[in-house]
Amino acid sequence: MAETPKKYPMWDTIINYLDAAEKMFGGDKQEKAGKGIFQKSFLTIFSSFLRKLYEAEAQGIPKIMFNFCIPPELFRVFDRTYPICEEVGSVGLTVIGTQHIKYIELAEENGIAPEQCNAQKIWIGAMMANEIFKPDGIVYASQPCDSTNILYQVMQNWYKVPTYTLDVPYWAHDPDSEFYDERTVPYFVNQLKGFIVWAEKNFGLKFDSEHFRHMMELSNQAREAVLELNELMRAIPAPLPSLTSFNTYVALLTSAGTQAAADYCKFVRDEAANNAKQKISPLQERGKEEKFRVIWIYLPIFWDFMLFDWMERKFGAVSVMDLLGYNLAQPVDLSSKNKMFEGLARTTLDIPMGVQSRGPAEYYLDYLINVVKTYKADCAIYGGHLGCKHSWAIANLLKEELYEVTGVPTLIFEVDAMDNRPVTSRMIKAKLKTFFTEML
Amino acid sequence: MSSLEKMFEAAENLPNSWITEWKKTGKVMGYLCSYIPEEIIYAAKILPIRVTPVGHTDSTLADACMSRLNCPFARYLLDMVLNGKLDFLDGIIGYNSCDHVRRMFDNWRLRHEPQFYHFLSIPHRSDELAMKWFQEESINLLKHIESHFKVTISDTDLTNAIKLFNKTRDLLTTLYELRKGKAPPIKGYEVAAIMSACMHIPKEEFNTLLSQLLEELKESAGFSDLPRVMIVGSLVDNPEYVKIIEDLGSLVVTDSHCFGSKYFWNKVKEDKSPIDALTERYLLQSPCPRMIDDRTGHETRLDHVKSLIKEYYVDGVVFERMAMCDLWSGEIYMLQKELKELGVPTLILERDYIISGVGQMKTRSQAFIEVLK
Repeated sequence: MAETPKKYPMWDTIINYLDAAEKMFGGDKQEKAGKGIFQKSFLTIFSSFLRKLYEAEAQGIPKIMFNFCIPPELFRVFDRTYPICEEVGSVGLTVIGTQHIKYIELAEENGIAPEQCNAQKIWIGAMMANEIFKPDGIVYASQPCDSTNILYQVMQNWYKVPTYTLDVPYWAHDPDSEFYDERTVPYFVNQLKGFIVWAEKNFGLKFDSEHFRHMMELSNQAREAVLELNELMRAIPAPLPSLTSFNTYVALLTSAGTQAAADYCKFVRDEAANNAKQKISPLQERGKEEKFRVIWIYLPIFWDFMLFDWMERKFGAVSVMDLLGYNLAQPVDLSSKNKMFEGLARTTLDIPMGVQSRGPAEYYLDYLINVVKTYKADCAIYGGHLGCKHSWAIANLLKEELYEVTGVPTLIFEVDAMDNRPVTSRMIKAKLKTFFTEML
Repeated sequence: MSSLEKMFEAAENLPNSWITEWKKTGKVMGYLCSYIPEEIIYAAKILPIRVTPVGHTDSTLADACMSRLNCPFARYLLDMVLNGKLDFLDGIIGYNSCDHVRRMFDNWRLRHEPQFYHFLSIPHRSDELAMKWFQEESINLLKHIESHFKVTISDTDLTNAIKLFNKTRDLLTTLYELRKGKAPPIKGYEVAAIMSACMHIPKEEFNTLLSQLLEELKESAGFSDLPRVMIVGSLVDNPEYVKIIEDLGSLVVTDSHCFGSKYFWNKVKEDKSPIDALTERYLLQSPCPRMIDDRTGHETRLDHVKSLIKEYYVDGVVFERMAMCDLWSGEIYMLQKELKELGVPTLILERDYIISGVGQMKTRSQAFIEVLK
């Protein structure tokens, strides 16, 4: 493995950790997808993506930063871009320890309000400390929330680099929805095409239809595998442990449109298919029985992935689907350039968290009722992130409606998904213990 | 009762006597945001009023629906709704200005169904695509009002409404012009009452009242030798908030928020098709931090604040920040940094919707005003 240049402490911390984890956990020849975030192929795809930053810099490839509610395929329309989702850096640092806390504190000391979402605040702190690279351009969408909108403006204001914004429509693109508006897809397609013009003008990139088609073919392979995985996770007992779908989410967010993402998503799907066929349950392998099928209706708690392992061991509670893992983007029609842009528009409109957040409460509610029914869930858990004001504003509505329609109970509690200080792991476990005990 | 006293009465009560009188023969439509083209409602002979939780001091019912993490303005307003205090409205227009209010509307329509509800999707950009989208949204609103209330809105109706509202904008501009002088003839908290009244009184009557007041102000000796303060933030609909700052020895001479100059800053063009003119005016108005493109983004907003500071000889800026407001938190962070570089003193006052923590607010404001002297 080539030595990683030491230029950006925030970035390098994650790479070093992944390298160490790969050495520690990756030696297993019989590797399995159901190893959570320590699974070898996942570590590899993630670390090689991060390492490409340095290749991009060496080759003068433009680094375009974007928010997590845009699919990276948009940037891979061109063959010479390094698309980097800001939240991959911020959340990546959160997952591996507590080194992100200093960046949160620095951002707040400099005037970013404490109640604003840490998903951007971590990067902003690193930016203020000059411990992360400067992107060559920024692209962000108006979904999922106000905090994203304004904190990307803060980054734009700080970096002074070319910036392109996407106005994500409120209305639905599905003709069966009561909120359907036929303008939704064309309006967004035109904005995506506007991005192409912007990128060509600012970075000298050249649009190539053939490259676009090839990239979207790879994207389709990955996204088809994820759709099959969604289906396979319906099996009882669950064929893979909690949050395995989250790994495919990260693979798509970093690498959708590449061979690596396609291979990884197929690998996870194949293991799920094999386990489902043989009725193998990762829980049973550990001497446990699946007692509760959980829908984790919001973000995972990024600083405590072991919480899900604890839920499985203590209560036989498996999170069979979660907000980010439930990726519904359909394969894109490759028959023409316009069709591909339409498909990319729909992929963006349906992106996890964006699709639930960008419109009326029914978008979130429909998602919730659908996953609870589809996965025959026994309960739903909303560990509501403190920075996520809009989901908190309808959390009780979701709980009430879900119970009325399905009879399934929801546990609601506060947590900061990127900071373990306001609500600790022990506090969360106490709530979960009470909830599962009451359900027994 | 003087014209100013009448405006205070209108500002502090919802519904006020004008609305009650209008309701005897007409309909009343609520809205909450500067991006809603009121003229369309008025052209249907429906009174548009900008709804706020003015005078409401409880949020118990709303707290059971929303969260402590939500904006108090939205929670107090939802509480009013759930208590039936806004049942006098014949309809409400929802929109997506910010997450808190957008979700408040979800709670409103799903928990206490309004008689008429229309959602206006406001774009976050202002280019040609967004302009077309917003124009179509405005037309959809117009058609929905026509079909629900069984009225016809003609271009002439729209043109007349535009002229009437532009008259209001002219009068308010005249009022604000008076504040540029060395001895502004009116206090900032009085202007705050006038602005709130403007959104709660039929425009014909408001224009009469304001014209009278402008005549009366010619007799005012004015207020000089006080530090000149500008208020920047989301909204200040309670004159008392401004009065607390002024009573400590300052004069609020201008503002940049939705219940102040942002409400009337741009006129609607009268020489083009009414819908085109309304679309352009409302989407390109003095922008809110929710807007994210080059034409309406932060740089434009900064330029607007800087020009007001210059024109009104502002000595210091008070940033009014509603608790939990993400948009204004980020905007204020940027503005404060930039104004500091220009040597403009600033103070951030975080607030609940109701006036609370007055002692702390006074202490901080007093120290700030001392710096300005």
